[in-house]
Amino acid sequence: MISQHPHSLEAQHVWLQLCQGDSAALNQVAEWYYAALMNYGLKLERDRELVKDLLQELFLELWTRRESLPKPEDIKAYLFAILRNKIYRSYRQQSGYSHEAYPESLGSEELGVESLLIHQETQEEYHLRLTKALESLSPRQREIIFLHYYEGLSHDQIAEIMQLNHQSVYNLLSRSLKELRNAWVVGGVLWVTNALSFPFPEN
Amino acid sequence: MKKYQNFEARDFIQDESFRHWVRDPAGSQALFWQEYLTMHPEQEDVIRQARLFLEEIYAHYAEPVPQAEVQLELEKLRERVAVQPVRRLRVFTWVRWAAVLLILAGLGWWSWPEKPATPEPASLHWALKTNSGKEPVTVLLPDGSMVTLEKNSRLWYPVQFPKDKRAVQLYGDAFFDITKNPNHPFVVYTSELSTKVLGTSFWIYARPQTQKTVVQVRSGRVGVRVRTSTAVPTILNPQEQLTYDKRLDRLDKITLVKKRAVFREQTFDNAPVPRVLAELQRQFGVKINYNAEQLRNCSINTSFKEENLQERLSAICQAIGATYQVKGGQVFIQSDGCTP
Repeated sequence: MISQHPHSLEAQHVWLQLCQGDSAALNQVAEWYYAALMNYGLKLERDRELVKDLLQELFLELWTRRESLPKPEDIKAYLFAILRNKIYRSYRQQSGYSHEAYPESLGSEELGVESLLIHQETQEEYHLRLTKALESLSPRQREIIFLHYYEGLSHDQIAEIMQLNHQSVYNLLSRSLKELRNAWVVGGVLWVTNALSFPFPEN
Repeated sequence: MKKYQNFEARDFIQDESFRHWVRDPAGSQALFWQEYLTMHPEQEDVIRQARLFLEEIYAHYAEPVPQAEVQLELEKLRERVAVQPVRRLRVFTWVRWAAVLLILAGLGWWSWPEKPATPEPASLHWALKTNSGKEPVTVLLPDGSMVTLEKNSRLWYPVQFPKDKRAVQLYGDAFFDITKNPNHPFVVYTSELSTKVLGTSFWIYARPQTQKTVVQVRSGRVGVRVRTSTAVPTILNPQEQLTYDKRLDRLDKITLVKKRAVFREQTFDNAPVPRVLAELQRQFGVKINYNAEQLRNCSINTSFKEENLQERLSAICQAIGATYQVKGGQVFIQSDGCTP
C-alpha cells in the first residue's frame, strides 16, 4: 500500500481551513488519512465495525470542535493518537481493563511449529519465520514495529502516539528489534543464508 | 551518496529514503536507488537483506482497506457533517459582508478571500449526485447552473446555496455551465484545485486516483488555484487548458487548437414537442415533466448545436408560447397547448 499522505505543509494549510469551518477541508483530511487510520485501528481492535464507528466519531468531533482544535505539528501523529485513545477507552468500557492493560487483538492466528520445519531457505520460509518472530513479541512491541517500519513514523511521532518519552521509544524499538532477532534464531531451524548475519541494532 | 557507503542492512532499514523506495519501488526515490545499486554492486547483498526484511514487515502488517469501503465511510461522514446544527447565530454577518463588498469594490473580485471571515454554516444540507451509468448525466443546481457529470463521477452540492457563496465539490470529470452572478463567484473544489468563476463554462477532470487534474475553459474566464498554495490564481481564457500534476506540484497552461463539442447536435424537422422533450430528457439525463396531452398539437422545426439544456428549453418554450421552471433538479413545462 502506497501512502498518499500530503506534504506536511499542505496538511497544515488544509487543517487551518478545517478550523475555519470549511467542510471540504474536513473531507480532505479524512480522505488523506482514513485508510491509514483504519489499518492502524485494525491492529489494535479486530472489530472492524467498531473501528469504523470510532473513526466516524473522531472526524465528527474534529468538526464540532473545529474552532478550538489544537494546531498539531504533525497531523497524522495527532490523529493516530486520538484513535488509539478511543480504542483504549472502548476497551475500558467493555471490560474494565486498566489503562495499562493491552488489547490482545494485536496478534493474529498462531502458526504451527511444523510450518517452521522447512529445509530450504525460500521466501516462504523467511516469511513464516518472521511472522512467527513477530508474534512472539509483546503487543506493544508489535505496535511500535508497525508504527516505525510500516507507517514510517519518526521517534517523535511515535512518542506522541504511544504517550512515551523519546528515550522510551528508542529503548522499546531497539528491544523489539533485538527480540525479533532472538525469537527468529531460536525459533528458526537452520539459518543457512546471509540472513544469519543479519544485523540488528544493538541497544 | 557517500553517506550510504558504509551502511549495513540495519542502517538501511532505518533510512527514510530507503524505506520509501522499498515501500513504493516506482516512486520518487526509485531513480536514486536504482542508480545507487548499479554504482555500488559490493553492497548488493546488504541492500537485498534490508529490502527483504522491510518487504516482509510491509506484507505482514498490510491490511488494505478497500477503496469502496473508505468512500462509503467518507460519504457517511459528509452526511453527518451536513446535518450538524448551527452552533451560533451570526448577527453581524451583514456588517462583515458590507466590509467585504467595500474591499472588493477596490480590489476586484479575484482578491475575493478564499475563506470569508465567517465560516460556512454547518447546517448546509448537501446532496450527492453519483453517475455510475455509462452516459453523462446533467445536474441542475439551485442557482440555475448546469453540470454535466461524466461516468464514474460524483458531485456534492448544497440543496440550497447559502446567500453568500456558491461552492460544490467534484470527484471525477464534469462540464460546468455556470449562470452569471458577479456578486457571488462559483467555486468548484476538487482534491487539489479550487476553480473560481463568475459565469462561464468549463470542464474539470479530477479523478481521485490519478495524479493530474485538468481544467479546460470553453467560455468566459476562470481562476484556478492549487488549494494548498497561497500563490495568486492562474487565470484561464476560452480554449485554454491548465494541467496540475500533483506529484511534481506543477501547473502547465496550454492553448487548445480545436474547439470541442459539448453537447450532441440535434435537428428537429416538424417534430412533435413531446418527442423533442423526450429526446432532451434522454440526452441530458434530466427529468422533464410535461403534460403530453396538452402538448399534443405542438410541433417545431429547429436545430441545436452548442446550446445547453436551458438554451434549448428556452428556444422550444418560446416557439410554442410555454414557460419552464427548474425545481429540485427537474424541469417542469407549463403550457396551455397549441392550436392544431
